[in-house]
Amino acid sequence: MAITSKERMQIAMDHKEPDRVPYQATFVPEMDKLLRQKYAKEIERIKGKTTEKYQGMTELDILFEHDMLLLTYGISTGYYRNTQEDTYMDEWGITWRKIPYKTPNGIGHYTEIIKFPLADDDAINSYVPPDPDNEDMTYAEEVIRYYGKEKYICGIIDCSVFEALKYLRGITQSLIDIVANKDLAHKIMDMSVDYHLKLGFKLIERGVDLLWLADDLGGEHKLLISPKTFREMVKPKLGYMIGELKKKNRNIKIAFHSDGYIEPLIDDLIDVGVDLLNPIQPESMDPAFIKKRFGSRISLWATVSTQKTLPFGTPQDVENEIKERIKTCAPGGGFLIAPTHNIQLDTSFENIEAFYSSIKKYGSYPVKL
Amino acid sequence: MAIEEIKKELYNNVLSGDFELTKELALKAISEGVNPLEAINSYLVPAIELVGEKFGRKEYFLPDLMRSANAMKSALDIFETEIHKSGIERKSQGKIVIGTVKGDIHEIGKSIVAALLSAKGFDVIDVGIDVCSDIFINKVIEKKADILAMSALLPITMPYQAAVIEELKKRGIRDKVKVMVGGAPVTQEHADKIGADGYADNAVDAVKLAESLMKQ
Repeated sequence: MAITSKERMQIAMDHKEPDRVPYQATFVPEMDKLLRQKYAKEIERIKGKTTEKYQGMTELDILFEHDMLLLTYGISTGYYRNTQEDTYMDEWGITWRKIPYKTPNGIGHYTEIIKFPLADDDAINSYVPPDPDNEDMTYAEEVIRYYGKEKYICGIIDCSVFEALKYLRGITQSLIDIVANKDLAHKIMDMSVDYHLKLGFKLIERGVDLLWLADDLGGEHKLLISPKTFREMVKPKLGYMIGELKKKNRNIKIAFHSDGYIEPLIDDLIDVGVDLLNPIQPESMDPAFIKKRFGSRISLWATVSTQKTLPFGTPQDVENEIKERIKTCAPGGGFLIAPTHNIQLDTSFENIEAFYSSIKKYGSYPVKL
Repeated sequence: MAIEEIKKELYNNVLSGDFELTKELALKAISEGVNPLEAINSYLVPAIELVGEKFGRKEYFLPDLMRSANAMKSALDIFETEIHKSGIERKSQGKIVIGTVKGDIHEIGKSIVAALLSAKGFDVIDVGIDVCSDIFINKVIEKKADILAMSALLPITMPYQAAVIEELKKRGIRDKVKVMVGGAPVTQEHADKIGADGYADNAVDAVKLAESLMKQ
């Protein structure tokens, strides 16, 4: 009997080989919309909620047979908001601006923070953070009700430690704070940790399998902060969060995301209980090396380039990259193949099709490449 | 504190990035009669150059670099004021208008380059972030700048560097100012394509580039 996506992911997360390599993908909202139009007929038949609150996905997840579904919550949801306004403020008092850019597939938008609510040193004294009880959990409940038995469910409570400091203080100031205004940095990060921990508990109660934390700690080829600063300022908070989440449910798995080069920190992440590492950008770290060096102790998620291959390569380039990743990262399990970020608007439909067809072509276990 | 000790501590505190202490030491140096020009050239500049090297060797990270640049700048301002008061001008290596192009609000890289250029004796006019062509060009004209330095941190704002160069041509002043470009996605190839006079990959090389452009 065929196994479900959920079982496939559970086997992979146990560092064993299921029937095939599990996969998933996400899209920027404009690409999501284009794909919904392209596959309108096919998704009509799909049950489930029609639009996700922040980054509509579910029907496409089901259509493309993704093994894992994502539920986005917390501070990072400010990034994508379904609004006509060019600038908007979220619940944290962060002001975001949508920046348009042209692609062959139309106009896309990325978002930047233009006003940081805690930019002034004194602002923290009168700041009231949002209440996690105000988060609308109905989307998570509905998705889990429809798909929780069949699919592996990932709750996102990302950007909760150092990233939250950047969101609230500003990137420049937060880089100073983390080494020179440590008390203030702790206070702000702890506030965010409390919020996201409560949110994590709510998602565990609803029945997620995995919780996704994130903090961008890497530049393209270098850490943003030193390993020493990470170990002093960030790691204990991650350890606390993960410990509390696993105390709540000892079977819960933890994913951690950081863009860029973070190789010197991977042992630390394993140390605090991270089970799954995302995205291993091939421009910054060699996925084959990371698999060899750390693969028996941490699972890998993503590795397919959204910076080069998917937007700028040919379908053959996409196939070659997927073949290489499956050959080097899939043996022994512990691998969820995916794009390293949301598939961008300048990606061709042909390359998206090549992404899925190549995984089908090469993804069966045992790997014979 | 003996004069020699002040000088040594000035160097050490720029290295460790202690803003308050560096500022205090600069004031102390002045009151003890340290020659401000010597303090800049013999202590601040070597310290910030070592910071740049350590960053290149991955011994220092962004927070260290930013702290050191801020500390260095706090002392530099004090010494420059003092030089100015004495009626002597610090010999300028050249005038540079620097900013991040329109649509782009990234400031860290640009500010570090500006700080290093100041330390090396350039007269730096930092026009900030999200800067439109008119502001860049009017400032170049107003200050009779030798170099225009433009930063872009996004592939989608890189073309604006070309737009500013085109505007310089339209106004007939392209040959009056050297143009240097930088930023994470920017490459030598891009710089050549848009007709810039130079590109540097990091802040230390940006200073070397500015120095070489001044010799041309």
